[in-house]
Amino acid sequence: MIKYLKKGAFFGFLALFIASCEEVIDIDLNSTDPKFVITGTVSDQLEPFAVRIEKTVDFDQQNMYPAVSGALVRISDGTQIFDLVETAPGFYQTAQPQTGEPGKTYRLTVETEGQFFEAVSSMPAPVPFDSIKQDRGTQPGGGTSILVVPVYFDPAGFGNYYRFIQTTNGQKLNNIFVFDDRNNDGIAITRPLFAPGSDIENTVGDTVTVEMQTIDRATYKYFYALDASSGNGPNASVPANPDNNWNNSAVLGYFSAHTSQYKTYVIR
Amino acid sequence: MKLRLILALLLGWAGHICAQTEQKFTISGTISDKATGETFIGATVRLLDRPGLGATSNEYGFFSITAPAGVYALQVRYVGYENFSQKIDLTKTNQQLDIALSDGTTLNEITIKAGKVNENIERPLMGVEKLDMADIKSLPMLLGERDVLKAIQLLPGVKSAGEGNAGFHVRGGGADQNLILLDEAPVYNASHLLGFFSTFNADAIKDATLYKGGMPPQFGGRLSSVLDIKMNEGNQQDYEVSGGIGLISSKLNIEGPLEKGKSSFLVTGRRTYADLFLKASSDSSINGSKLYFYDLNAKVNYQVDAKNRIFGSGYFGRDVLGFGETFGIDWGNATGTLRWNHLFSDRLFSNTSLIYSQYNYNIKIKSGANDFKIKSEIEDFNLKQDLQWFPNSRNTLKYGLNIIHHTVTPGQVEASEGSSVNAQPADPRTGLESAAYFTHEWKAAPRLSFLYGLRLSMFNVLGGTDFKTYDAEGNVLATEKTNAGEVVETYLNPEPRLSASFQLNERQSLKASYNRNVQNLHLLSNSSSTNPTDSWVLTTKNIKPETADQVALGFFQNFGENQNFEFSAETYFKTMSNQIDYRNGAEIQGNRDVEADLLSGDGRAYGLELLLKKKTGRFNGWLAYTLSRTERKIEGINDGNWYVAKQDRTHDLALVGMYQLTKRWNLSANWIFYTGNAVTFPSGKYEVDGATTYLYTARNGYRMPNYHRLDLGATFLAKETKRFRSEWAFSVYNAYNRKNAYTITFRDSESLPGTTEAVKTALFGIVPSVSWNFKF
Repeated sequence: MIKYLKKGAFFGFLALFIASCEEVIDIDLNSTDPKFVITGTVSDQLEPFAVRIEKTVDFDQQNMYPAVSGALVRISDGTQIFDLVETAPGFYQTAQPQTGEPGKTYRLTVETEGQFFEAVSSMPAPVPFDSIKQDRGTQPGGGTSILVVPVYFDPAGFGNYYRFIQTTNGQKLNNIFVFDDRNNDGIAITRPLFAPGSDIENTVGDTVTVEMQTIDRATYKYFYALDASSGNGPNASVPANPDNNWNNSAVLGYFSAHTSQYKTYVIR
Repeated sequence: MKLRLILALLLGWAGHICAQTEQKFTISGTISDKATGETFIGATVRLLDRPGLGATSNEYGFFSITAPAGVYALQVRYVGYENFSQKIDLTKTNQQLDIALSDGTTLNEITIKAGKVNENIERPLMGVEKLDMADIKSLPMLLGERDVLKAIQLLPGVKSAGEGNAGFHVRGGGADQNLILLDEAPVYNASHLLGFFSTFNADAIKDATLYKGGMPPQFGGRLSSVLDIKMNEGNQQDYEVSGGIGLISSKLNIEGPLEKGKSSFLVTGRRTYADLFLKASSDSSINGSKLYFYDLNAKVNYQVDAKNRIFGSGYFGRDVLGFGETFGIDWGNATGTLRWNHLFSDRLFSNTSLIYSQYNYNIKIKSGANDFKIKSEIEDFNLKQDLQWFPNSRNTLKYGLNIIHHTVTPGQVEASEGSSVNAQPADPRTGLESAAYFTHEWKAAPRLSFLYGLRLSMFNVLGGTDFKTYDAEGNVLATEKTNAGEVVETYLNPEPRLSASFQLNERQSLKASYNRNVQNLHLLSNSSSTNPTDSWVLTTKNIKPETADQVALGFFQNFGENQNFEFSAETYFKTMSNQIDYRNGAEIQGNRDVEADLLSGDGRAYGLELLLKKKTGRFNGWLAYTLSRTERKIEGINDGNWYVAKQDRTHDLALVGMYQLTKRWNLSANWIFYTGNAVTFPSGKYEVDGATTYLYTARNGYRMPNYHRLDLGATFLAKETKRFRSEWAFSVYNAYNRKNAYTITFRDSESLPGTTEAVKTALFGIVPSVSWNFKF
């Protein structure tokens, strides 16, 4: 009996391997008609309101996106109308820096190639960005990592939405960090900016800048869906173009009126 | 007019059953294994002098045949056992005869399986697959884990949910549309280790039958299929210890009589030990990781007297997964069944079951100041009363009632002070699912049989919690407070079921079936593989009962010497309504208003299934081919147009062979080919805030590459004496090391900056394994 057991264990060790492997493959994807991609932001910082208009390309093309020039771009806040000028191909901004106001609703209109597009976004009230701290997390399969943790206090009452943008040593992380308060209302929040799959790992000595935005529901939903459809996290979904606040479903991108605060932290 | 027709039918029906002019007597009893006392399901009993007079033993081994007065030669046959024959005198009285069959292997050098002749041709059952547990034991399996759920994926019309996955889709249905029963108790999450292994320890299983269509009315509650799994009862004659040592798990099975010939017990356990290797690591973050599962099955049965038998059985299984202190999750099922078989007479068999099922998961998260737990649970209390009446050998009637009380408690959160999460009290949802059914299996003419019936199912949405209504954007419109026990909504659904078989001749038959099924428990899942945190929801005012109507036609033929070849062709067409999917960008986890993020629509599925099977001999096996299509149409997805469902595969082929080389060596192989699943790939790309973002056109508009794989297996009987038996089982999964795509993802290329690339991930290359099994 013992003899058999030992033999079994020996064979067991010999045969214990499972390989998972990755390889780059050629895949034949359909080409598609170019679509408009319009991203616009209005913030409460003194900076120009900015809009970028580009078009999509096929998957197998270079990551060079055709700029849409000569569009008529306007932002109104209900009382005032700002005309945006094209400062670089496809890039439009107000001639003067402006300060957006929380509580105001902004309307972005774009006229180009005989079409008219419109998106609306309301700037929420700012929520004080308290501080940044760091934390240590265990990774699946072993090893630990340093996590960057923005600290703030969510005001009582549902309907607060946040977006965080992390920049490490001057390089912006492409990960999407959006939080709501559905399960976190009216308390101190220390949710780490968990960035699985990012090529930038937090290491001791890094200078990390975090931008905290308060955003409206539509913008939150947009980024949430964008993140989920990229296959990340527990909410990974079937890939789809995220719903946005453009009045025409053929337009990609988003328009967000948000507040901004920045903090910088050196990882110890 | 209509009423008169129904009345005429009813009278005609009663007439058929009760028209007994000549004197008749009944022979009844139980069929079991001589060596162990284990009862046999589906053994054939025949009165040889009267072709057409016969029966099959029911799920408790009971049979009953009523025949005109006379002396008969009774014959009993069961796969792998010696035929039993005896003269029966039915001239004056009813007879009661318990029959014990001897193992057929002692007769021959090599196991020759004796088939049940012609049952597949005669009975009006369609879309039914019975798994031979001996086959499951010799088929090659991933890491040598014998697995019922993976074996059924080799049958026509059944598709695996993914590489190495125990989840399955039947005839275009969702993975949650299969009712998986273990001793009548529904098992809510039938997989371990995130889907790679099933919760069913093959050593503890006696019988597994899959109903893909033509579902008998005693089953209900799911749209696609019923997988009815019965546990072994335990040896009534002798104590027996068996077990196995495998690569990832070991198992042990102990059974024996409590009182010889009258009662028995069985306890089976299995545990994986991958985590023991993790513990060996010196890295604290690795040896702090946990990854294991275990199963425990137990059963006792007691023959009180000739008319009463009681059974108790239970299952408990758990998975534990954790990374240090940061994250931990454990999940598992618990089921318990108490049954009482009672013979009211030698023609009326009754079974009463009290069933408990539960599935839950617990998540623990600890990171910095965050320390919280999430708990989720579904719990059922279930009462079933079934009656089987065998008035004569042309008619079998079954009647029954079933009441299930469901409690679903989604994501209860316990958070310690300082956590960034609000505590959430348990908010249990309750519902009452009840059904009454009758079914009549009727040999209308020597060549024509029917199985028809009706299941009337009712679902009561019970109060005690808040019910919300939502607008199109998902905002709460109104909240209705309800009291515990109050019936908030009632759905009543008749489910007619009908199947018929017409025998063209002794070896060929045509069959047709129609059935309607209703489902009131829905699994919200966003991925194709099974996830322990996928949540079950009950039907509410917002979530309507899912329904499916299926028609099927089939041709069945037996041929060859001793009719040892079986061929069948079945086609089906199925429509489904109130199918659930998520809205784009739905928040799935921790969302109390998840109902607002659901969309519902229609589905349709159709296909052709071919099966050629060699049942007996040194070489046996089968070839299964399915041609099928599965589509969904849901407002809000794919612009409201029909699209192929993710489980849609055009071609699906399985070739399975087993060969008894010598008395000691048994070889097996299977080869699988299928069209890649439907997936959504990008057709274009753009940039959002500097990050490459993909543009999607149609839902599931692309295909994964075709999948194929060869597995090889061999078992070697090392030692066989009266007291001890041991064997080695070797298997090679994916023998030619095909790198089948598990996922295809898209990313910015590192080697060619400024471009994007597609990356294929393959999960398993060639995986050899060995295990050692013993019995004494």
